[in-house]
Amino acid sequence: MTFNTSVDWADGPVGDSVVFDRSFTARMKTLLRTEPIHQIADVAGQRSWADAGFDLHTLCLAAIDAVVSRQRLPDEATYSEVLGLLGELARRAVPGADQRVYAEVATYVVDGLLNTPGKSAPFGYDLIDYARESAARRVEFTLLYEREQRATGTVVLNATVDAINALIGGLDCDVEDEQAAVELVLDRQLKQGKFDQAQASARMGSQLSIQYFEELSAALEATRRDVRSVDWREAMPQRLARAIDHVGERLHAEAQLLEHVRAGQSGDGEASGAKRPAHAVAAVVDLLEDCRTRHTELHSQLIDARDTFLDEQVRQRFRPPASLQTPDLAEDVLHPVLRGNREQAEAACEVFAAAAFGPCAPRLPRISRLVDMMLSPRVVTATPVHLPDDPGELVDPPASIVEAAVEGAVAAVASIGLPARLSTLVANADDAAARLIVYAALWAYAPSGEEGDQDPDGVASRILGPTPVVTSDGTALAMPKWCGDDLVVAANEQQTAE
Amino acid sequence: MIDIGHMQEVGQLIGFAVQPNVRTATDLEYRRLVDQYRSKVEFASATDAVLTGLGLEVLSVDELGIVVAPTRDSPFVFRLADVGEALRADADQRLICGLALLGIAAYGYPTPADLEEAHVRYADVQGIDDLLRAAFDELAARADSDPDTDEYGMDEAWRPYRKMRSLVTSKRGGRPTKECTQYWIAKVLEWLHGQGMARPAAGRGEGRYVLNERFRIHVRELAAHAAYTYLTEHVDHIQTNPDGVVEEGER
Repeated sequence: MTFNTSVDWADGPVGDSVVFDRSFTARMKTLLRTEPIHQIADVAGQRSWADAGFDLHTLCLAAIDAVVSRQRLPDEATYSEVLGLLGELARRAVPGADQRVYAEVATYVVDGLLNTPGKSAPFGYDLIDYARESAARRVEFTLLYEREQRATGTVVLNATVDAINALIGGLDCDVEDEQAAVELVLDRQLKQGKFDQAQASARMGSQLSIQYFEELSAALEATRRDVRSVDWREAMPQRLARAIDHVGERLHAEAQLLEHVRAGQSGDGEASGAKRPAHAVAAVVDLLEDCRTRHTELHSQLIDARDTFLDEQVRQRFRPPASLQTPDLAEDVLHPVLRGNREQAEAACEVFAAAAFGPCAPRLPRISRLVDMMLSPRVVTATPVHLPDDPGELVDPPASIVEAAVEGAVAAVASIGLPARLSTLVANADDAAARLIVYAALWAYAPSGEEGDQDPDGVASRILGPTPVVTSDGTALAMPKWCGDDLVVAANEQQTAE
Repeated sequence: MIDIGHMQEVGQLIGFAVQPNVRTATDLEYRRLVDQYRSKVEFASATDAVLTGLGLEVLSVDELGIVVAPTRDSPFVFRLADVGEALRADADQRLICGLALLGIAAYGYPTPADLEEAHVRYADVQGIDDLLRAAFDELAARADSDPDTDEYGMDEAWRPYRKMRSLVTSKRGGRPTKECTQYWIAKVLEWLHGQGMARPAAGRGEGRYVLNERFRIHVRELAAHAAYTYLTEHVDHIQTNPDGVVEEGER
């Protein structure tokens, strides 16, 4: 091969080059998703069976296909099942080899896709992104992963969105539109009796459903981590509503298609149906039924999604934001423990073990505990035996509210005057005063019905006046430390009306 | 107000909570009670109140069941002394068990992102031992070259572990003996198995365990923070993220 060395690349038309197009980077990223498969095939060159004629690319894709075909259905594929399938495919490719070789090939492929040799870490590749100023970037992704089915405890294989995309062929657009398009194509192909294509399209539709499912799962998982990380005010409810409509439409469309295919099968269809091969029809029917099962499942997940949000909101309500940053176990825990002295390390290990082992139901009395119990001073119960008759005594001790903060809050509100938005009131106050203003506004917005909670020291009425009226028009607070509605605070009903 | 009949159900649910190996898919009563906890606020509040009284904190409630963790003064809390008693371990061996548990978690979840994903992780005895020993070697090298380390004496936590051999097998049967660290790591994994936190990974290699979703929840929701907070509050000279070079090649 020769190159024209006279070309001056620096003067070339780089400015208009396609590499600056964002879609180019998107395609590059898609291309990279296939890279682990090539690596699996390449590295196999060192194995004793490397030249035996196994097609590792095909085995990789077959493994992903086998996983995706049952993903999120009750009988998801397990590691050993996929090994069995690949072993059988390997045997068909190279008959007569030792049974152990087939098992080894299958294990090699599935472990490669799981990146078991790399301790299941994501695959990572560097690419040059010409569309961005800092051109070099690292792309990390996973293809297959194992997941514990929460109810049964069975460990099953799942494909990531990345793997599904790579398998489908880099379709990177709105899932719903794409699926509608797929169904249209399917319908046309069925009418023309092109069953192979129809089957391919039905398969594609099913894969897109899984992809959609994975996106929803990712949003729910993010919510479980940190409820604020997903926009549940607007974006998520809209997405859910759209998705529920979408699933309804798909279920309807799939039912119609099924009917259409079955009519063709029984000979009631149009003349072109005469050539339809029975196995292809059966495969399309299977696929469509699979799609319907998935969509029914997805539908119930969608219905439960809002509950997840509400549950998490309750669970994370009083959790300090700092605890959402998970420490690095090696760097932040193990290494500091090791650098400490023995006493400190023992105590830290004890703390970790107590939290990591879970509850141990005591079965037999343990001598060490008995001795501990007998030597320890008598524990005074924190809960008083007599509940006071007057519930008013149960209110928080007033000493917890610092007078200076109340004065700061009163001054901050007075300097701005009511009515005003919460964000305006809080803007110039210091931290303690700001917190009091927010609490006072929240209290005025939804005063507790219980007697003991009726603004005991009159703090709220000192800050917001005797008859505060707080309303919400749904505007979100845009402040770093707070989230929720930017409430409108007025001194009385009349102001609110104005 | 919740009636006596419901209190009985609260008790049943708590009974399930302290039996981590029961699954909602196989025990329909458990499943019903979990659903009830999630759908009825009164029932959930009553359960939470009794759990608080028992020194138990709810970490998660879903198809996995109700996952609870004991507070430090709960009668349900696990202590390393319990291992000592059950396995006749001396003080050094108990510390080795404690470090092994940290090693298991650090091996299974090498980065914070790994703790966030509900992906199954594996841990094997040899790998955990290697990870811990690599960390000790690094610290030993640093201690030798840095005169300041004398300040905290020679009683660093890792010395008993490093002194013990990695693997010593019995003459009869060829099984690891108490004289080696791999024996203790395997024991801790067995204990985790009993607690529903791990299980042997059949057909996936010698000494390999699956770390269960329950373990990830405990480590992520509680253990990692508890230990981290303890270290930052009680250990003055410990600076997190100094020039940590130990886990090179981890990822």
